[in-house]
Formats: sequence, structure tokens, C-alpha cells
Amino acid sequence: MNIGRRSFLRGATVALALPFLPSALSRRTWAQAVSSPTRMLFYYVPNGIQTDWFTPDTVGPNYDLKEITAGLDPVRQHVSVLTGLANLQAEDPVAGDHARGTGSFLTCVPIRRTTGSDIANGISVDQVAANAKGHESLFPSLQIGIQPGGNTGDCTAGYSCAYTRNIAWAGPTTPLPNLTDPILLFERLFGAETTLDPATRLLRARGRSSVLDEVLAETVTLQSRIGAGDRAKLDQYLTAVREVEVRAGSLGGGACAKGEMPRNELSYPEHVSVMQELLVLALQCDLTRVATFMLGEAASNQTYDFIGVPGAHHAISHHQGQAQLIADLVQIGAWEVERFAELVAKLADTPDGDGSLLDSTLVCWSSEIEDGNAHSHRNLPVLLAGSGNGMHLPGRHLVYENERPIADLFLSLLQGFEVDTDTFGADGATPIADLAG
Amino acid sequence: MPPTFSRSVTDPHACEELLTLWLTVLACKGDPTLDPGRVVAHRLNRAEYDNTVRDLFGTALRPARDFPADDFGVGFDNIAEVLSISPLHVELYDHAANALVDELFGTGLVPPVTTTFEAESGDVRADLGSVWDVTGWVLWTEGAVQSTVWITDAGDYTVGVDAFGQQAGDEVVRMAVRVDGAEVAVFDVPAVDAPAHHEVRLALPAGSHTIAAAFTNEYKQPPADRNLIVDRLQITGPLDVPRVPSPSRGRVLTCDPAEIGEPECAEQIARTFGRRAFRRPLTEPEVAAKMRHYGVVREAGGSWEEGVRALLQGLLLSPYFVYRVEPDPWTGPRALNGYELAARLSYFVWSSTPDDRLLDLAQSGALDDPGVLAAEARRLLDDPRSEALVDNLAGQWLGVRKVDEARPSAAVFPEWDSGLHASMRTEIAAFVGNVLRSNRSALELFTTDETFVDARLARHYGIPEPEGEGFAAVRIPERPGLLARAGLLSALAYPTRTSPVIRGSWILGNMLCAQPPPPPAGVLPFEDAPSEPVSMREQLAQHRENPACASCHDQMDGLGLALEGYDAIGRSRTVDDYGFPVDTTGELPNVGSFDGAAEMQRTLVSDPRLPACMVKKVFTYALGRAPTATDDPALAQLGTQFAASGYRFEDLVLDVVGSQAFRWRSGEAP
Repeated sequence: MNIGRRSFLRGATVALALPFLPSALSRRTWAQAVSSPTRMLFYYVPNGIQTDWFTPDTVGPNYDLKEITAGLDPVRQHVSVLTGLANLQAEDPVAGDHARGTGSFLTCVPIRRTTGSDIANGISVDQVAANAKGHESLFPSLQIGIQPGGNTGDCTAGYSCAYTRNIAWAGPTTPLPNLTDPILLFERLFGAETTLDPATRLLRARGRSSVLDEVLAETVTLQSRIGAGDRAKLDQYLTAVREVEVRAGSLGGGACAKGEMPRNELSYPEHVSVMQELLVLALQCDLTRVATFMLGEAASNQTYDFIGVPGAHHAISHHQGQAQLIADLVQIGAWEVERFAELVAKLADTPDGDGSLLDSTLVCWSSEIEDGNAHSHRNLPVLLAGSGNGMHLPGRHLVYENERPIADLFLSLLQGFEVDTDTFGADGATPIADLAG
Repeated sequence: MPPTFSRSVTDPHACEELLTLWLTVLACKGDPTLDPGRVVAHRLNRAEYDNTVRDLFGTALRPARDFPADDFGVGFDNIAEVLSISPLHVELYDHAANALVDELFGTGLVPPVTTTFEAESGDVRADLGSVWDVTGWVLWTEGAVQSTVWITDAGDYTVGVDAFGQQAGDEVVRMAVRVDGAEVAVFDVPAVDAPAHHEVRLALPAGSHTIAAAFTNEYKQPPADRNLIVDRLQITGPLDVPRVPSPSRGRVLTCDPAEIGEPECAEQIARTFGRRAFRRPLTEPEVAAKMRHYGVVREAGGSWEEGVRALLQGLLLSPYFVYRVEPDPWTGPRALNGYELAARLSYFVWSSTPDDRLLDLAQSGALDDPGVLAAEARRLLDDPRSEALVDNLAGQWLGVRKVDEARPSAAVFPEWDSGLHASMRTEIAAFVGNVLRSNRSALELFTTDETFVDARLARHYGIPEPEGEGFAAVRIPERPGLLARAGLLSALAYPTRTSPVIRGSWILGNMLCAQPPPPPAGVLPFEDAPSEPVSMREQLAQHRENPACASCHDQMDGLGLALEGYDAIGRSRTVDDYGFPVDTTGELPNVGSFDGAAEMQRTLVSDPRLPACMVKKVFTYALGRAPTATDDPALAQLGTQFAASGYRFEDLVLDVVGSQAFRWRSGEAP
């Protein structure tokens, strides 16, 4: 069968299947996606949020802003607050809530408690989306972070650092690490600044393609000579090289209007802004449609001297009801929400198709726990921005009851992303009905 | 069916001979009743990758610094089962291979380096002014802040200043940038709320330079006051300096294509460099595959160097380079071959690739001889590359790397700066290296008063400054032992105060292999925020009244309280963080009681768990896998040998290398 016919058939299948899609929501998504692809972002902030200074008093549109959400003012019409969602998969009577909340942040399955070699998690919502749609862009997904990870292995309460540093999981044993260096991220997206002539570039692309083919062949041959445990390790390599090979030879984002190469040695707030700008650029240039962003690692001890809060975030978050510490946390939370508002504003200001990038993007913001003192996974602070091509009607305060699983939200997003599934994680079974208004 | 031998032995001499023979067989061939354990394909971790390319290319590049942080298991970052790989790794390997080959051939530019000095930190000197809102330095009248930087390459640099102003009068705040005392630029600084970046580019010779930002148009008509606030000074460069071919290029480019022919020379490189990269000779099909990369580029019109670039990239992206692989031809134990042993040995002692001598001994079969293996282990220990044991093994086990994690609050500890931090890191590495690498008893780690300080650290410790520049060996009788090093004490603390629990828990886990379990349900880390002034000792005592807490806190609190004489940046003190007199008495249940850090460390030394834990840590690191129950006999045997050697660290390394677990592996069905 020739390629032309095969892709024609695939296209026909999609076109024929559409009228049978179950909900009006999906049809609307499709109608808008003609001009702009749908994008999904998952944004993680560490150590929880003081929900008393976060959750609006009023329900529905034009919700009231609190101290922590004050920064949402200029973008309130683009952002919904979701109250009452829970990730019960992270609940456990023993300590380790930061690791559990972070490990299962996007997987919604219980993680195995271990500091050893037998880590086990599920597949994260972003990776389910990337597996379905990733091939349509250069990077099936991007993982961006701020903290580069420690140099020693003491993470938290009997849980591996894999759980506290990563929210994107390609599979139960394969966390996807964050890229935290702004210059490397820039080069990865747009290619290194190069003075090479086109002929040499072409030449090197040929050499590289030959190399990657051979690496794949070598790995496959090697797999026949080693035990099952080793083979699992080499499988990771095979998958990784294949993904890179698909990108090989592409011009990447070089063709897209790109920003300036970021500076080195940025302060923490500058680092956050630059990484967020690069994230927006990656979406704008359609280099990826799925991304995760970690503002810090689980139980981050980032200091906030620059807003007048000395001490370490995680240590402060165990406030025990003390007014000064709560005030500090409210300040940190407000700063975090301001950064999110900056990202939303940037997406809203970036033209895309007939509208803005925010129209086709859905950004889901949350933390691994409710608040730093209680460590509950029951009433998570959740912000949802953008419409994702009609998946979500933003600008409302939505309240859910009975510890509704956040996995239901992720399931809704996957369906809006046209992933063919009716469950997600351990407890996502019922899509959220009122998301699209 | 294998032949069976059966005879009754009555002659006692024959009996002895047979026994000797059997023992010899065991020594050479291993004891079939012992399970040597199994290590899966081992991805090079960041330290191993950087050391490996250093030894392959003679490069000073450290490409793995940009790789994602390695995953940890059982306290180390070299545990094969835990080390995972992602597409990001592969892209960064590709990036690294390009940078290494660029450097080799001298193409591209010298990579610029940025050095930043935060104006409020101790790295910056000021004539006047004060800290501004924690993050900057305000010059409230005409004056300057300056810092000194050492430049290795002459060339163009940008000097940058992030600054803003308090505006007053009819002029905008003005700032002069000075390099080595000469004004190189003057900027208007109109920013008022947040710092704006100002930079100037200029040529600088190699050597030491001072860079300064000065406030030059003071205006004061109270209440109007014009001031300059400097956030940071930065210097970046060299810029646009072309590279010259690497001086160590001969290490990789082992032939001259003009002399022996272009493809012939490329093939020679594939074989010689390939043997080092794969840690074994390439098979003929492998050589042919690498030559295909070369051929593809040459056919497309590329130069010889471009062809060799592709060939080298093929080697550096191969799974045989990225992983250490030990194939399983059958299920069940087998002795490792010489190449596998060479790699295990060099990655254990050097965190790096085997050198040519080890590969030659593997090729000749000599390394299969336990005597030769031991002699080689000794040679590797005597090589400076064995400093890797301090960086990586001790780095994780004894807290050397932990020092990097110290993050004292600038508001609470204004004396803290990156210079002091760096001195602490240098001290602890030198302290540990001094005991471990001179083959003294490892127990001296906890008793020796010999350490290394520079002037900055001497002031911090309150002892006389050493003469001359840099570090000098000193004795501090009142502060012996690893656990009293300022760097470790700073890392095992909260940013604003000490935590006996953090310190005690770390000692239990890392020194006694008795990591306490995480706290049970519903227990809050009480000591983060005492609601009323109570001494640390009293808070902990209250905590232990809860039996659920007592089982672990009985073990760790005493160890931590013994260190309360040192504050959260490791200075001696007599009053704790809550204003109470320091009391450093405590006990380690069933071992002994003590008063102060020195006695506490002597008590640790009397605990048999300490040497057993040392054996376990070294064994785990050497093999890159978690010990299992089947390793107990081997660990017990090594413990006996360790005691017999007087707890000498290097002897322990040699004994681990000689163990069956190190020289054998268990196969698994493919």
C-alpha cells in the first residue's frame, strides 16, 4: 500500500468518525481545532496553598479575589477557580504527603513507597495526551522546571527522589526529568546559535541520521544478549533514541520568530519568568502541544528573601497556626499566583489563528497538597485557565462535592483533547459536565 | 552426564591436599554456593560521564553538569536499577558529543562564562551604603561597590550591572561602571521599582580585574534624596574568541591521514578510540558500522574531519558507551571477563573509564588473576583520579556533597557568603580525603583533630589564621571529627536555625545504617514553629512523651543535641536559637552517654554498627546495587576482614574488589 493512500484513508476515518462523537463538547473542539490545535499545560506549585486566603466566597462568574488570588485581577475572565477536587490516591496515614502528592499529581494512582530501585507509578495525564497527539508536533511533550535537583539522595520520608522531582511519567518506572536551564531549553527549542554554512549543516544531519539508525540497530541486537531486567533499561534507551530520531534533521523552531537567547545566571524570579516565556514561545511556534511546568520540587525549601520572606518555603509551610508564618505563606502564594497570571496574560496577548493562544490552550494549575500544615489531598487548590478550543468556559468559581476525584477533571481534558478513553488514573470515571459552561 | 568421582579418602595428607586444591578453586573460581548478585545495565551517571569524557578527550568540559539530576537509590546516585533515561538525556548526549568534537578539532568559539556577584553578598566590597530590602545594596551617597574576578582567556567581555534608583531632583540617577579603576561607561538609571540591566563590552587581558558600579550624582534636599541601588555585578566572556585545536587531540586522533591514508586513519581511530569508549575492542561488524557513518559524510562531500566527527558521535551515542553492559549468556553465576572487571574497578575507584593499561591487562587475560586485580586496585587508589572516592562515595555517604545544599538565610546570617561556603566544601573534602586516602583507620574520621582551614574558615572557627594564602593543615583539639565540620553542620540545619532532629537522623542513617522511619500518622514536625519560647531540649523532651515518637527520637535526639554547641552555620555558641543556654548532654541507647560533639563521636566509634555500616556503604557503592539478604555472608566476611585490617579504608576497598560479588555476576534468562 502506498503512503498517499494510507494517509488518505486515515483522514477519511477521522472525518467519518466525527459525527458519532458522543458530546457536543467534542464537536465544538473539532470545529475550532481546524484553525488552531488544542494545547494542554500542567503547572505545579510546591507546598500547597492557604485555601482560606485563596478560595472565593462567591460561586459562578465574577468571583471575588482573596489575598493570594489578587494577582488574577487582570486575567480573571480567563481563569476559573475549582474548589473541592481531591487526589485520594495520595492519601496514606504515614508521612510522605509531599512525595505522594507530587508523584501522583498527574497520574492519580498510588505510588510505591521506596527509596530503592523498585519505583512504581502510573502514566501521567500529559503523557496520555502526548501519546495520542504528540506526533503532530516536533516535541510530543516538554517538561520544564526551575529546580535542577539536589546532589544527594535524601528526599522525603522513605520515598525516592523520582517522585519528588518529576510530575511527568511516561510509564510506571520512567519519570521524565525537567529541563531547568534556560539556555539549554532555548537551544533545544530553536537550535543552537550557529555560524555553520548550510552545506555543513546538511552534511552533519546526514551523519547524525546514520548514527541514530545504527544506535537503534545496536540497541536491538544488544537486547537479545541480556537478561530481562537489563532489557527493560535498554527499552528506555530505544524509546528515547526513536523520539530524538523523529526530530533529527528538522529545522525545529528555527523557522518561527524566536526570542532572544536568555542570559545566564538568572535570579530565581527572573528564571521563572524566562522559563514561562520560553514555554509560551514553544506553544506559539507549535513545537509542542503538551507541557508540564514545575515551579519547584516537592517540599521545596526555596527562600523568598526577595519579597521579604526569609526562611525556607517548606519549613514555613508547617505554620501550626502561627500568624506570622501564615502571613509569610500568603505572601509566597500570592507571588506564585502572580507568576501564573503573568503566564496567562502572555498567552492571552499572543495572537494565534483568529484569536489568541489562550483560546486554544488549557492551563491547569495546582499543588501536591491542600495546605502545608495539614497535608491533605482532599481540597486541592486548582486554577484552570484558557478555553482549550471550547473545552472550558473560563472566569468562574466551580465547586465540587464529595471529594470528587481530580482524575475526573483530567479525564474531561483528555476527552476534550480527543483521546479515546473513558477512564483515567485509579478513580477518574466521570467527566466533569459543567466545565464547558 | 558429567563424570562423577567418588573415592574414600583415608590418607590425611591426601585430605589436606584436596582441601587446599578446593580452596584454590574457590579463590580463583568462586564459591558456587554464594550468589554474587546481579547488576543491570548501568547508565553512566553525571559524575561518571564527565570523568569518562575527561579521560577520553583530555577535556576540561563538564557536559554532564547540564544533564538532569540523577535518580538516587539506597543513598547513592550510581545504583544501576534506579538510573533511568529519557529523550532529554539522548538530546543532551548528542549536544555533548558535538561540543566535545568541536573542542577536539578547534571549531566553534570558546564558550563564554558568566560570573555573578550579588551586591548584598560578602563577595562584593562597598565603600559605603547598606543592604537594601535583602536583595541589593543601596549607595546613599557617592560611592561604589566592587568585586574582583579572575579571567583565564583574554578577549572581549561584557560587564553588566543590574541596578535601579530612588529618583530625586532634576537629574536621573547616574551610574559609572569602572574596570580596574578606569571608567568604561556611564549610564542613566531611570528604573525605580525593579533592577534594569546595563552592560558594556570591552577587551580585557587575562588575569585579575576589579569591576565596580559607582553612584556619581548625589542629590539630597531632605526629604528628597537620590540614591543608586545595585542588585548585582556580572561579567560574561570571552566573546567571539575562536577555539584552537585541543592540545590533547593526539589522544583521540592517533594517526595522520596524510601519512597512512584517510579511510585507514579513520578506521584506526574507530579501533583505538572505540576500544576506550566501549571499554572493550570493537567487533569487526561494529568497526564497519562506525566506518559507514564516516562514509556517508564523505560521499556527501564532507571533509575527513567531518567524517571522523560522525564516527566519534556514533561511538558516543552507542548504548555500549552510555551503559556499562554485562551480557548474560546463561542463567546462573559466571565470572566476569577481564574487560568487565576493568570497568567495574575503574568506575568504583575513579568513577571513570579504564585506562589503556587496564584494558591491556584485560586483553592479555592477566586481570583474571586475583593477585593482578588487587595490584591494579592498589595502583588505581594511588592515582589522583581516586579523588573520585571522596567526591562521590564519601560525597554521598559522609556528607561532602551535602555541604552544597546549605542555604542559610541571608537575613539571619549576614556573615554567610559564597566564599565561606566554598571554604567549608574544600575543608570537608580535604578532611575526609586526609583520613581515607592515607589508608588510616576509617574510625579516625570521628576522632582526628587534624583538618584544613583558610583564613576565612579560621575566623569562622575562632582559631588563629594560617600563614600565607589558601588552605593549611591545622589541629583544632576542641573541635575534632567529621560531625563538627562547619559545612556539614550548616547543611544539616534549617535556613534560620539548627535542628537536632535533622542532624541526629542523618547520623543514624548515614553512619549507623539505622535510618529512622518517617514519623507516624498525624504527627507534625513540631520543632518548625514553637509557639512560645521553649528550649530546643525541652521541646524534644515533650515530643518524646508520646510513645509513638519516642521509639525513634530516643535514638536520634541525643546525637543531635550533642551538636547544639554549633549554630546553623557551624559556629561555636553557648546560647541556643531560642535564647537558652546550650546543654550538649545526651545518650545513644544501649551504647553510651556523652556531653558534646567530641564525646558523642567517641561513643559512635564504640558502636559496632559503625564499621558494619561502613562496609555496607562501600559495598553498595562499589557494585552500584542495593545489598540483599543473599549478600549477608559476603558482608559479614568483609566486616571480619575490615576489623582485622584495623579498619583501614583502602584495605576495605581492596577486599571489596577481591570479593566474589565484585568479580562475578548472576545471569538471568534473556
